[in-house]
Amino acid sequence: MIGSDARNCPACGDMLRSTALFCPKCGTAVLPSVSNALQVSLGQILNSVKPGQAEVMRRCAIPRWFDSEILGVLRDRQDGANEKILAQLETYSFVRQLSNGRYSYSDDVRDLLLDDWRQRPDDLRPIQKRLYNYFERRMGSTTSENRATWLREIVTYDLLLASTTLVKDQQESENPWIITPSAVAARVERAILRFRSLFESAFNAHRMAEAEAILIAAEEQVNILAPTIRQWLEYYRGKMNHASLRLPEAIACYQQLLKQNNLDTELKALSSISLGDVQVENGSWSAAINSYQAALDLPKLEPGQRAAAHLGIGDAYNEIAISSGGWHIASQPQNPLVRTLRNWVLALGTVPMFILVTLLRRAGAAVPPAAILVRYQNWMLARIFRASREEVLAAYAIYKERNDQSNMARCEMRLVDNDVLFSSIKQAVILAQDLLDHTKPENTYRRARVQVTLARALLADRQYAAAQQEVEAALKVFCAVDDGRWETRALSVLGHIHVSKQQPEPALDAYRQGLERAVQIGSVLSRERILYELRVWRRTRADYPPAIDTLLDTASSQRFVNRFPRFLVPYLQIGQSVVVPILVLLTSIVAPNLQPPTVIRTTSNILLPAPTVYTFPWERLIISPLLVLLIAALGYTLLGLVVLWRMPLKQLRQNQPDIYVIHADELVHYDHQGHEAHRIKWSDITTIATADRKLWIRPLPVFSRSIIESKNQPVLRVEGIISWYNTACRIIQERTQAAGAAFSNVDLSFSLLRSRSGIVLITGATLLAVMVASINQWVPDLAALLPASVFAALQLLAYSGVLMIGPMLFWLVIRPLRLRHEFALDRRIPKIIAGVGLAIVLLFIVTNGSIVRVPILSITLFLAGLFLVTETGYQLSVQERQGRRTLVMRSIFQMVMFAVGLMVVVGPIKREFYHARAHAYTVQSNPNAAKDDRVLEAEQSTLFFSNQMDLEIAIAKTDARAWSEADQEYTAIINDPTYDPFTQTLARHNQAQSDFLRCRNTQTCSAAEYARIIAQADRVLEQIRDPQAQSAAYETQADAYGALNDDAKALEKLLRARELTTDAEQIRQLDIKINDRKR
Amino acid sequence: MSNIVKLFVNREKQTAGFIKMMEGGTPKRVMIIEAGGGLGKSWAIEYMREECQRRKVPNVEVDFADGVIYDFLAVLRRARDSFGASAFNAFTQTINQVTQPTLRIENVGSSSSNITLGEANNLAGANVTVGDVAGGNIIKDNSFVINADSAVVRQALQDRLTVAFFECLEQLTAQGPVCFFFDTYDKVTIEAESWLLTQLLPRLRERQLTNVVVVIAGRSAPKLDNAWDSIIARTGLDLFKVEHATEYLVQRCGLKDEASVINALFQASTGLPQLLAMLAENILRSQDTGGQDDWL
Repeated sequence: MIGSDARNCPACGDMLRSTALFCPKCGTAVLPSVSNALQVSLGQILNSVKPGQAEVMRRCAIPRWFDSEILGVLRDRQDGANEKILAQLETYSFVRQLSNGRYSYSDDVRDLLLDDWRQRPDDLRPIQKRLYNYFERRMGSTTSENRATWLREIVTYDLLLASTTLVKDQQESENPWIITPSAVAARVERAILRFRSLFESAFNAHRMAEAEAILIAAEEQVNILAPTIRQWLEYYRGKMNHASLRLPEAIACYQQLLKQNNLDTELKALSSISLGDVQVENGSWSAAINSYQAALDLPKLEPGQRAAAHLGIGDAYNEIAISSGGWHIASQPQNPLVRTLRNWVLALGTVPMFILVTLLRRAGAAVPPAAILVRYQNWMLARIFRASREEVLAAYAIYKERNDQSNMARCEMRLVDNDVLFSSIKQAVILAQDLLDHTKPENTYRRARVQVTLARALLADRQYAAAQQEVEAALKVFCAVDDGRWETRALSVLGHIHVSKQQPEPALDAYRQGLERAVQIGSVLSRERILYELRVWRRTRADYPPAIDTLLDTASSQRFVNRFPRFLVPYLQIGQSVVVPILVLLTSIVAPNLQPPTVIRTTSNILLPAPTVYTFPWERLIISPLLVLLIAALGYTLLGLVVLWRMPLKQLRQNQPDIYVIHADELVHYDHQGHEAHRIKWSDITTIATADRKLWIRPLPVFSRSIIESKNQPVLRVEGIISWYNTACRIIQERTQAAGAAFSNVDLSFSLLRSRSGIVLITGATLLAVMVASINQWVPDLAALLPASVFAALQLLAYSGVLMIGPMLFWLVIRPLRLRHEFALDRRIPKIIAGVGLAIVLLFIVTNGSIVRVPILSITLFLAGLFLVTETGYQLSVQERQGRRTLVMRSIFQMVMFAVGLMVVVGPIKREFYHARAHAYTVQSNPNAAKDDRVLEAEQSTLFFSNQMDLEIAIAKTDARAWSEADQEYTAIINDPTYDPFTQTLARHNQAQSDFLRCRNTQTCSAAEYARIIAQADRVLEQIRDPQAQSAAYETQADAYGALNDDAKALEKLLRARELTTDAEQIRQLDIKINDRKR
Repeated sequence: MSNIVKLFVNREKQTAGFIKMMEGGTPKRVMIIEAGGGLGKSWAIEYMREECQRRKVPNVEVDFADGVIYDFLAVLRRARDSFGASAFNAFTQTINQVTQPTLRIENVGSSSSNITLGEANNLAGANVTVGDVAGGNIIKDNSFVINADSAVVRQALQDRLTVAFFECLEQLTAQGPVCFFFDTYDKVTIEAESWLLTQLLPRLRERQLTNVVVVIAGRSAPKLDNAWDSIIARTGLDLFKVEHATEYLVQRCGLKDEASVINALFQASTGLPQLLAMLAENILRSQDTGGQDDWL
């Protein structure tokens, strides 16, 4: 005990009084250390007075302050000496007078004495109990004004007494402070409840200073309080921090608490919910949702807490959605033609969406109308609003069960807002009107809030006058009580009403006032709401007042939010990238039609199939893409609805959209967890690189981004999917310039259609269109007009699609990979691209080179796939900073691989060329040249496209007078059931004709052999209906009959052949033969 | 000579700086004294207040350790009462206006009203004296505690009262300087700190209030960035040197000037004024046993 402990002299070892400064024996100064100097000094004072005085002085340290009455309690006697003692105490330097008659010890002295008391708990407890009783008595007799002061003291002692009660271990103990463990627990619980009640009564009435004073009093001796009490105090410290907007401190309190294993379930639930509340306010919505979810996952949760958690999640989702700025409003092209075309395409795309969504809405589903859902930018927003609605409904159900009217009203207001957003206008108006009817007239403030909600619904219902009346009435109330947040909301609604009524001036006034008020009260959401309204006005009305520009430009702080969490961007990029290629691919599969097989007759009366020609029937050419588009629109609709209903929210919980806040002096970026990731002063910016991809002028959102480099900060990527991307980029540029930053602008943007690659693509599309028109004979046949080789080359170029696929590769692959290499962006992109390339190559191999029906297009796709694999491989090598040797080896390997690929397709390309030229020759009535090209085509050895061209090979052998081998080939074809009958018939004819040619050349054939040739020709005539082929067969028969000197028969057959043919060359030949026979 | 003036030594730098501020000899308007326990912060403030009294400069001291629950209104009331209620009639009137029982505002989500008087949202039972007038001045306001279901509404009322308070203060400062003293800042309530940092100090920085000096003392000080440097003078309190100890013990406390005793006491105190005072007290009381009474 202070003032009673002894010590020895360090010089002579003599026993010293605890308070001695000198050794009385040797005179050595016995100086206390700094740490115990105060203790020694205090001990000295206590030792110097009578024991009773010292004890009272010690006791005065127990309460936080004392007056004469409390002194009486401490002394346990009211003998009239208290005033006198107080006067004596006042003379000590460590006693401070707080106010008239109220004193306290200095903190250091009191702490020392309290430490001392903790060594004597048995002596301390009765005094604390007396103080507790005194404060209870005093509270009962005081005015309400001071009641809180005494209550604070009571609960403090209650907590202390409960914490210092000992647990009974011996039945015979007579100590009244020793009780059973259950009684101790009950006492602790009672003390906590009392504390909570007191704290919360002050806290809920927003008497923050009082609530804090209660907490501080309880925390004063926190280290000796029971663990459960300490945990509750930590929880309320968190609440206090939250209320005073010390959000990081509040989060730390709750997180610290939730780490503890032995946490009471109720406290755990409350802490999780409160943590969620702070995180919502802090903008960490994803974390907030996780916190609420953690509360919901607790096994025993009070219904009220469950409802609060649901409502919290609903609010967090709502905040995520609202903070992204509202529904996406697409910009309108300025060119009326383009605008009309775009709107038509959009309307077509909306048809399935409109049908399905209308059906769903009629069935009572909460979905936004088709006009909103048709834009993919709104899907995620709609999903979030739906999630929010579901949570609010869950909370509403619980509140309804408990008949908690006020919380039901909170939920209903949110539901009305949700209905307005989803354009369930009538429903919203009815609900809001009902809500207002049930709000007591005397509850002016509450009515005003409901009136704003109702006004919003009425505005959506185009009841402008009624909406204006409600919102103006509400506005008066908010102005009267200075509620800036709701005032700005009301002004925002009022502005919107005026815009709808086409009253620009009053609308501007309302928005301007709202904006000023929002800035004044520092409400970010209020400010952003109005900025959003202004931007929508500017975008949707061509005649918007120019003052909007000024308002938007002068807003010093503006927030831009990603319309999607970043993790979705690659999926969107892939989704959008494949749409056009898939459309082209599907069209290339569906549209071409093979002409029925025809024949070419050579001058030696050999027949061979004419080259196949693809035609493009108009109905397929128009209807097919339309059908494909319609199917795509249906798929798009279904995808949208899947996102709306089934999109897992788990990902979203962990990935909220990024936020970019543009201030007057800096740019702040909050990442997917709501943490501040960048804070860049404008003057620190060194580079602004713009990497936008545009179709014409406007950036394509998911393919565009700006990259900002600055001193001492990591590279910042501003995604094109943020709301109002162009505006954000412009402001960033302007503010960086205004700050005088020495920065460079790097323009990596390009417009797809206005670039050289765009010109190539347009050329490719035009060439294809011309070719299609030509082959369909909508224009003169190019095959007849152009030299055969030129025609073949052009057809190859058009059908290969290389002029369109090339630019697409450049846009979708090469540039993104280069950018990635330069800025180290998403690491998954090259791997995804390489995967796509590999899939195409494998598909080419598996389908035997027939990925699509047009062979040359298959070849282009194969080469494109190969390019994707090799290019991404190379870029990955560069990115991974591999050693030069490895890099060279990989490069060589990839080049070899690409070269092998090229070699593989050289044969097929040549063959396609000969095929196309053969067609041109056929059209140009040059059957021999056509036959030669067909033969050349057949002779190309390839790994792929092993088409059955044995007939052409057999013909080549006939031409080479290899009669026997030719005969074997023809026989093989005739006997091979895999050949189609048409080819077999041609082979049969060619066999007969080949036999005849052999006979004529060798002059060794018997009559029987000629008879067999005639019989073969007869069978040909039975099997084939093509007049050209029949004509050739008759001619063969005529030649055979001629060899047998049966002139009549020969002439008859020649005349039949002459009747059937239209081939000028054959007619000429037949005429000569007929004349010969007649002679 | 008051007790504090008699005992006060070695804080010339701080007191001179304070006087300079009061006289307008420096653009600094705020003195922050941040020092550990026992170094005499409260004594320094007490001494400065004495100086104010001597010069008849209105001043107020808010000691956050005095057991009062300092919400923003308690701070304003303390200031008004210390500066002289007559200069704050408009402010007092505003208090009375905002506590009119006719104004009942209810927020969605709670069942009770947000402005109440006493406990039952009416005047009965509350210690209310609306607009007592004496000699043409409103000298007493509604003694009430603001309850608000909405933090926004409470903030609105707070803003209104604060504006009224500063309007009165502005008029008062037109007549001469006034001083605010905030002691034991390490125990400041969140609400009082918020008022100080968002209402009072910004008005000084923006020169909306000119003749006002603020002294803040505590073991910790408000966290203010460099933007405040133009108006803030930061200082600590040094430990006593032996000559200060001698001055204090011999000249102020009346101990004999014995070097060995002075040195021993100085070394024991390690230069801490509070400790030195206690040690001196020990010596002075060494012959005094506290009288015949034994208090128990």
